Amino acid sequence: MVRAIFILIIMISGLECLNSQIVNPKPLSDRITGYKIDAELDAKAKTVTGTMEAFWVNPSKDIVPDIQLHMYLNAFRSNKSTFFKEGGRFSLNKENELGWINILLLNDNKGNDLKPAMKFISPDDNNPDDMTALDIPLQQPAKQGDTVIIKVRFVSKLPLIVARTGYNSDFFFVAQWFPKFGVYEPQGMRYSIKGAWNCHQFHSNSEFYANHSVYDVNLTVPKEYVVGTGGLQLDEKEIDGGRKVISTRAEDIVDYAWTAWPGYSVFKDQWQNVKITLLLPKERKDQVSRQFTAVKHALEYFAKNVGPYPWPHLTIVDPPAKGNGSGGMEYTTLFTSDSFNGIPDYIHLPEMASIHEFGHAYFMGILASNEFEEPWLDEGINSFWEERIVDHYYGADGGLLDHPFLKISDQTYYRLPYTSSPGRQTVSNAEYSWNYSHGTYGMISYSKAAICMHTLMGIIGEETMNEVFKEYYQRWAFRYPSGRDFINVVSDVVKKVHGNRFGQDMNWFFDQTLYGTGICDYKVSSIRNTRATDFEGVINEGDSIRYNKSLHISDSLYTSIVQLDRIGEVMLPEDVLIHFNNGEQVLELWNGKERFKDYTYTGKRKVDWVKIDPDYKIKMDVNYINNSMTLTPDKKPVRRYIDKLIAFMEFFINIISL
Amino acid sequence: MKNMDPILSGMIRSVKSIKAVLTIWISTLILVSLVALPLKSSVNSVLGKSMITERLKDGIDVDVLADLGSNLKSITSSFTTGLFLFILGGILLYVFFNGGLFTTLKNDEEKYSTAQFFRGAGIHFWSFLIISFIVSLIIIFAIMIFSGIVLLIAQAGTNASSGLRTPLIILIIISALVLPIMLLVADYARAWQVKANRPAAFKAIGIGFRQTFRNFLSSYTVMFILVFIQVNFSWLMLKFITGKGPQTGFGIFLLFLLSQFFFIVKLLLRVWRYGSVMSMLEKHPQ
Repeated sequence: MVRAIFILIIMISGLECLNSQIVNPKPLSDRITGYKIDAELDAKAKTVTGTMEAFWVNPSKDIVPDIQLHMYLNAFRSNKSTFFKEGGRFSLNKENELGWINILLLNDNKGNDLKPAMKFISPDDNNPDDMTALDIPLQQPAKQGDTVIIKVRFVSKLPLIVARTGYNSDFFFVAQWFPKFGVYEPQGMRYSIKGAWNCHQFHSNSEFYANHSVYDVNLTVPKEYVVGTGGLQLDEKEIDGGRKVISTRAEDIVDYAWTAWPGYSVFKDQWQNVKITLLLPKERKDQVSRQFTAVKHALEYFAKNVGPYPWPHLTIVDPPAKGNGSGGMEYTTLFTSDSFNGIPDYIHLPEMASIHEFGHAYFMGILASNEFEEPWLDEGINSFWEERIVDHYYGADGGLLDHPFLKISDQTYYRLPYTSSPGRQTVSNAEYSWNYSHGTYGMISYSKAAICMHTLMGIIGEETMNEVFKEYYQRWAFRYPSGRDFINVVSDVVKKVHGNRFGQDMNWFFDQTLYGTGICDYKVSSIRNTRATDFEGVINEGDSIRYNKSLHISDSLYTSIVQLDRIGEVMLPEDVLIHFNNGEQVLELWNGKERFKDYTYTGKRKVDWVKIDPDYKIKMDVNYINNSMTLTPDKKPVRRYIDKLIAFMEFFINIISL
Repeated sequence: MKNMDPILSGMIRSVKSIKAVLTIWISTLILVSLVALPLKSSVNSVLGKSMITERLKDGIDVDVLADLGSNLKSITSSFTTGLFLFILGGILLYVFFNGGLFTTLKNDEEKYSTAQFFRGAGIHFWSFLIISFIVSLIIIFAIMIFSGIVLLIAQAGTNASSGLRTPLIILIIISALVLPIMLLVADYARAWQVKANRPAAFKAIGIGFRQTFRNFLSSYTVMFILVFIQVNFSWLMLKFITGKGPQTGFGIFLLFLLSQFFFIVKLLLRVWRYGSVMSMLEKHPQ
């Protein structure tokens, strides 16, 4: 009924196109919001002027008196914005380098002027100078199922590109450029105790949380410009004044961005039914096959292990050097990569960037979590998948760098910032994105969260982990999951696959690792082999009992004691592999809870070496070096490096002296 | 074929100076060991009885390096200091030995004398130091200018997002063409210095330039050939050093022996160059 009323209202309002299906045969989401935008780029003034009709449907039982909009381009209005205050660096020095968005006209569907009552809000930090979130009281509060339609005329001045969005001479990357609805969270949605708008300000570390929406966007640009958008291009026609209009349509995505630059070359490819468009500078043609291959790998891997990519279009933008600030960003059906000319084949940074940014189509795009409040659910999980894909396709040891002299896996690339950071215990993943102190945001929300996921996979197994994500996709695709929702999925799947082997739920794991600040570090403390004496003790000899103290040491019996320590606070189950001098091996399963653990063996064999976590499954262990011990350490690898170093130093001094 | 005479003469002189070459090799090895052996002990001590060295068999493992934690910082810090002292000491040592080498190479008739080698090294140390310093400065200055030009070219191409590859190739070619000239200046200057047997570094540099351009074509050809051989040998040596390398104890020992042998050959090639320039100077004296 509600949907029928909504469709009726939309039809009456002239926004009926937003309810039609063009891209996909049927809607993928509830489409609580939708946008119809006509915009024109003034390449000289660096502005985008637009008219927009947009709707929001009240999804709750609440009577909602207002709407809230993102006005994120205002983050570039001055050095007093929250974005710049958090970033700590303001590099826009001239008036024409600043960016802002102004609403020229704001009416509701009945023609009521909403502009006089609108006011900027700062729900995150009470910064009176921040103008990135806007509250607009409605003339008539919205009841359950009501559709609020707004008509807006706006002008967006793009900033000189320093981060994410803006211009540089004739290059434009246009993101966060139109007034966009926040998310109204009814009671029970994510952590919402009572219904309210979730409309955060634009932050240095986060910018994404929105409803899946339909976008009908017509862009007018100078005709020499090559345009790439997050939508499916429906039409392109030249108009007077040396301009052209590009009509696009995007369905069920959380954000719409676009780029325009005369210097782009356009390449096309296809994976199954997904048409892939790549825009990159003409001089960077050697990157074309690398980009397409990387994205096809990602499409394949995600489809197999998580769920299908549901749109028939995807746009990759590899910006020119002057547009570097826009590199490495994600807008679901459009993402920006990061490459440069002549990057050697053994360095897989462009592939890594593309796979990561594409992955956001799933984590934040399809599974639309709140990046502001739970960045790990977006960046951390996406980084975990990026590592898996990169190392799977480009080499388990050399996913990131595959040179004979030095190999670095993508997994290592993420593990190192965490294990080697002095701030790794400063803060947990339970923080909002702007509360990560001492520059720990990337290390905690990307690296730590990703290796948490790897550790979880090490414990529950790769197949179960894939099942977890398939279930997560099934339950939450085109909805708005929280961290708790994800953890519940993990608990349910683990219980289904392993029964109670890991307990009633998996909260014990997440509470310690993701939401805790403790570290995981296990150590082999010592190996002791002592010759056992012949029998000693109390002997019953008929009527008498005597104590036998044997002085004779057995030639063949040994008592071997292996001592293990838990140094860190985190307690995880560990495999312990014990190797004896006769070639036998014993695999012990230690629950990892005790501070100290001894394993004692008596027999004709001696313990040779011991390894905790022999397969390196517990990626969170901050020190692999102390995970093993042998009685016959192998010094050869170090000797080889030192010999090479000696030769290299001799060579070097010979070269630099004339 | 005329160009081959000094090359041949230089080769004979270098072979005759093998004892000097071995002296330099031993000294260099001792100097390097002063830095490398403590480093080896530190790393072994930090790794202790761990089996993590398994992961170092196939190349440098960044995980292991990072897990060295604060130990890595202290190892890196002491190694960096050691490296700095090594470079400083190495440069001075080579300046010292070069005096001896040029003195030994002066007469292709005389037999090698260790006493003469060290006497020459002592006598010419300061003036050779000045010559090396000034010529090195000129080379560095030239590289900076060329690099600046390359950067300007690259920056001009930024709008079109062009890469650094072409300008870099040009830089390398220009450097390869200019380097033999500067080496000729340095070698002629030192050869003249030894021949004249008086400490006059600045005059020697002047004569180095004059001599270089007096017989430019023949001098440049000789130097280019010798530098070409040296560069190619260096490249091979580098490939050998940076290759995967053996795993067994004996193999590693063999690697050490081979690398030292290659280094001795590298030293001989250097002495060959000095001998050839000395021969050219004798052929066309001031």
